[in-house]
Amino acid sequence: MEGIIKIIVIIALIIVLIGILLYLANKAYFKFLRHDKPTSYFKDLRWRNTDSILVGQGKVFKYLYPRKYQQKVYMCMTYKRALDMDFAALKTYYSHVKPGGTVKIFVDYGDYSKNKGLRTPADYEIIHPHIFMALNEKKPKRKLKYPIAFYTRYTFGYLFMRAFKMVGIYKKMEIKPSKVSYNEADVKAMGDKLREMAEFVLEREMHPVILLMDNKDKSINQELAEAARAAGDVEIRVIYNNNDLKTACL
Amino acid sequence: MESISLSNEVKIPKIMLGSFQMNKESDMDEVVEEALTHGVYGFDTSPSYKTEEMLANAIHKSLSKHSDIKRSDLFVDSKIDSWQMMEGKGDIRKYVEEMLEKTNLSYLDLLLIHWPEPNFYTETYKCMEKLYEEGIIKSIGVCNFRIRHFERLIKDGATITPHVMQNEIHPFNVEEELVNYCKDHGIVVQAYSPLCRMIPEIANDATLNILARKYNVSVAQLMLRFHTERGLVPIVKTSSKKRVLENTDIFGFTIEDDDMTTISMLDRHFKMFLESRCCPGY
Repeated sequence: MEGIIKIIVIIALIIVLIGILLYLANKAYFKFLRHDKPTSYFKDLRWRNTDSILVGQGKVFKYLYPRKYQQKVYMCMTYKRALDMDFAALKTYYSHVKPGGTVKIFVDYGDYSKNKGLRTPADYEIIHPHIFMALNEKKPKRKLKYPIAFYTRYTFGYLFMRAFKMVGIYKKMEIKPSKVSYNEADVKAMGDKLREMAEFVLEREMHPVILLMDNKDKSINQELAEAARAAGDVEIRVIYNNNDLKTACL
Repeated sequence: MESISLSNEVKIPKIMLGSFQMNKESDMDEVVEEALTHGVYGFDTSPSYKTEEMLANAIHKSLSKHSDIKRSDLFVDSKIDSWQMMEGKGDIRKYVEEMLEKTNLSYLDLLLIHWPEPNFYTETYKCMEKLYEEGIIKSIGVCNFRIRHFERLIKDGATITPHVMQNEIHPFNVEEELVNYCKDHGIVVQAYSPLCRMIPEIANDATLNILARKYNVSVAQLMLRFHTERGLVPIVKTSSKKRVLENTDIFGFTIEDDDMTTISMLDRHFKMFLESRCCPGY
C-alpha cells in the first residue's frame, strides 16, 4: 500500500514539474516573441525612413545578430514562416523604409515546402489582422495563449534557437547550402510568389533585392531568379556563407 | 468663418475640428459649443474614432442653443473604414445609412474612404458615387491616397473626381507633389495631424519658433496658417475648450512667401501614421 502511495506521489510530482516547465517555457516564448516583435509605430517614433527592410525566414536567422532594429535596416526576418506570410509582413511593414529605399527578401528553397501553409503565433502577433480577414482566416485566440500546447514543435524549436542564439552557440558555425531537391511545382509556386513580391515593391517605387540561400542544386536558384526578374529591375544575390549573409542582410 | 468651394460648389470651412482620440462626452460638448460660438463650423469624425454619435449629439445640443445656426451652416464629414469595405466587399451603403440613423444628421457633407484598402477601395468609391448621386452625401473624397491610387480609381471606372483628399500633412511632411496633383485636378486637400501632434521635434524646432516669434503667434498657429495659405484645410484636434479659439484664430496674419518656402524646407517625409502599418498592402 505504502509503495503505491509513493508511486502516486512521484507521478504527481513529475506531472507538476512538467506543468511548471511547460508554463515557464510558454512564458519564455512570449518574452522572446515580444523582443523580436516590431515596435508600435505610433508610440515609438524612431525607425522611420530606414534605408531598407529585411523580410524572410529561415534557418539562417540564427546566424544573424542584429540589434533589434538598426537605423538602416528594419528587421522583419524571423525563424520560421510561410512565404505568403513573408509577403504579408512586407505588406505590413514596408512603410518604415524611406521613399526609393530597398526591400530585401531572404528566401531559402530548403524551407519553402516545409513551411507551406504554416501559421505561427508570431504571424498573428506581428501581421496586420486585415491580412487574415482578407484571407478569410480567423485568429485562433485560445490556441495563441498556449503556443506550447498548440504549436508545440514550432514553439520548442523557436525557444531552443533563441536560447542557443542568446548564449552565442551559432556564432562560430558556418551556414551550409540547402539540400532539398528540385520539385517543379514548388519551384514554380515559389518563383511566382517572388515575382509578385517584386512587383509589389516596384509598384511602390522601391528597389527589390532577392537574397537566395545557396542550394546544392544550382538550377533551383537560377529558375527562381529568372521568375523574380520577370517583374522588372530586381537585384538577385545568392548567399553562400556567413559573410555574404551579414553583408547582404544588415 | 470663410470657406472654400469644392468642385461641386459645396462649401467647406477653411479650418475644421477633428475628433480622433476624443473620448469624453463633456470635452466634446464643450469643444463643439466653443467652436459654434466662434464660427468654426467644420467637424471631422470616423467610425474607427468611435466619436460619430458623440460628435453628432454635441452638435445637436449646441444647435439647440444657437437658433441662428442651422444644420446646413455646418460641414460634417465621416469616413468608411477598411473593415466596412472588406465586410461589405465595397458595398458600404448600409454603413452610411446606419451612421445617419444613429447620428440623426440627415445627411453627410462629405464621406471619405479612410484608407485605400487594396482589394476594395475602387468598388467602395463607386458605391459612394451612387450615394452622392442620390444626394445622401453632399460630396465624396478619399484619405491617405497616393497618385497611383487616384490613377487606379480612374482605370477602374470611377466617373466622379474626388472632391476632397485628406492626408497627413505638416511641415515635416509637406507632400508637395501630391498637393499639386490635387490642385491640378480640382481636389481640395484636408490636412490631418496638421501640427504633427506637436511632437517635441516640431514644438522645439528652431525655425518654427523663430518664425512664430516674428509673427507674434504660437508655433501651432503658424503651422495652421501655413496650411491655409497653401489652400489646404487643416483638421485640428483639441480636447480643450480654450485651444479651440487659439487654433482657429489664424486669419489675422499672413506668412511671407520666403517664410512659406522656409517652412516647406523642413520636409523630411516624416509621418505619424505609417501607411502600411495602418493599411497593409497600401
